[in-house]
Amino acid sequence: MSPHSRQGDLLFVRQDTRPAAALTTRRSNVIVAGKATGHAHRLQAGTILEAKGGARSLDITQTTRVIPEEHGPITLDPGLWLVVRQREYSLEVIRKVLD
Amino acid sequence: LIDPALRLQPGQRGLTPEQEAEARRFAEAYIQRQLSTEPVDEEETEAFLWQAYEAAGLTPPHHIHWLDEPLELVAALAREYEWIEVDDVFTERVSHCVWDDLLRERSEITRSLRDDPSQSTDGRVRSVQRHAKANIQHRLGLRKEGKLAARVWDLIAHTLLESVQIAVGEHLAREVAGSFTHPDSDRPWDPDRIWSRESAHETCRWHSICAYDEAVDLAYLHYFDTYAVPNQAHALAHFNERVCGYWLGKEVALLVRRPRVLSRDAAGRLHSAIGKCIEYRDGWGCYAWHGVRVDEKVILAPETLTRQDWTNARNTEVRRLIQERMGQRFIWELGGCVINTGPRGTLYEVSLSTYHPTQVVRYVQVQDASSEREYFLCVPPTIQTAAEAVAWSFGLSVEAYSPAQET
Repeated sequence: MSPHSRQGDLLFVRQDTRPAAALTTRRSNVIVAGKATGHAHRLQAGTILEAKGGARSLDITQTTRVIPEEHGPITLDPGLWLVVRQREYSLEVIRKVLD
Repeated sequence: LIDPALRLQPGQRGLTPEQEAEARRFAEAYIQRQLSTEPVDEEETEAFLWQAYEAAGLTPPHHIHWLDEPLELVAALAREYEWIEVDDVFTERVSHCVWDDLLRERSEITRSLRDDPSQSTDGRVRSVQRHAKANIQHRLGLRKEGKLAARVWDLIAHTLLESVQIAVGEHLAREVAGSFTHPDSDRPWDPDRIWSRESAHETCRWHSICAYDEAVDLAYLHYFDTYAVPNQAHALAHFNERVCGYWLGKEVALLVRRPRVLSRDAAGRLHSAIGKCIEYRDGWGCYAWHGVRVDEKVILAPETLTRQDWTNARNTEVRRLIQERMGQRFIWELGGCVINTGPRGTLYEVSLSTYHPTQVVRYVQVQDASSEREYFLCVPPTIQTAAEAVAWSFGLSVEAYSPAQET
């Protein structure tokens, strides 16, 4: 398993290769914001990329931090990091954790 | 009179320790004023508005109307847009003279909402901020990306961003957005569009609470106005901190009064254990528990919360709050049995129905590494251990899940 770090409901997984599909750059530095709280995970430096299906990655060129409003910050080294959101099981569908 | 040692000098490249401390004090005082619920002197506020028009080279409006809450402004601006529906309760609160005056402002409303906001009267009054920034840079020899500008931004604007725009404004934006019908009503809330003005309904919403957004730039400009050189945004900054939202037309200006209740916890998050955390004069408002939006029942009648409320809540943070508000009766109400306990948490099995005891769901109770709050996550009934449950929640096997950092 590739190196990974967790911040609350997000897991950042280091990617060995860049995806072949085109990724778009998000304007905001908010990686994910909670629906009820508005608490956001913000990238201090680097670019947030988004695939067509909504999957997000962090393109980091220098060591940086992810700053949350509810959790302690974590440090990420340069590279491409896939953002994995914590999921939850339901009888109907497996849904992403909404916090 | 301001101590000369606290004033910024042309060519200055950084802040002295005294100036740093003063900037912090300035930001805190600005936040207190912006979030104050004390009734404002409306004549004085209108005088600042007149000055703001004049600073933009415009003739002040003949009529200034005060509205009691944001949805009245949304109703007033959105009247011509059939795809925006505001409840009659709010529309009827807008007085007849407002509707009559707005008949003469149709083109201004269209320009500011759809056609060309920057050329509308509203856009031109607000544009003094751009001129003020250029003026400051020129007069102080301030480089846009320089150390001094960045430090002042950090101390003033960033503080306002966290305490006013995010902690209060974004919460209010969601509440306003959810209180009228518009083309995006059925879509999931998009945090990137909270302050967007791309569509008419977003622009109406923005105007209704814009003071919490504009406060960030205006506080920054007001700092330079106070400690360096007077600038064109002086009156707009004073006006902005006395209202909740506004729309500015050629002959008419609509101003939304600040809420009469705005309750926060020690961390600055919206919070009230006894009622609405934000409430306007007519009673419209919302509830929150330490920054989390919740229904009235969670705050005012926690003794009526049931297991059903908990299982129906789709949001883990809201579910955690229901659990917290239910207190010690929560575990009893849940009726779960422990399947496994380990370092990563406790796995429970809960029967969904007394009539069909085989219908069960499993929840893993975990503790957040930073806040130490406890959460319950629903996991598949095939999961056997708490460690397996946490790994599954990130799509990994228990062997693969081993985070280098965990907060």
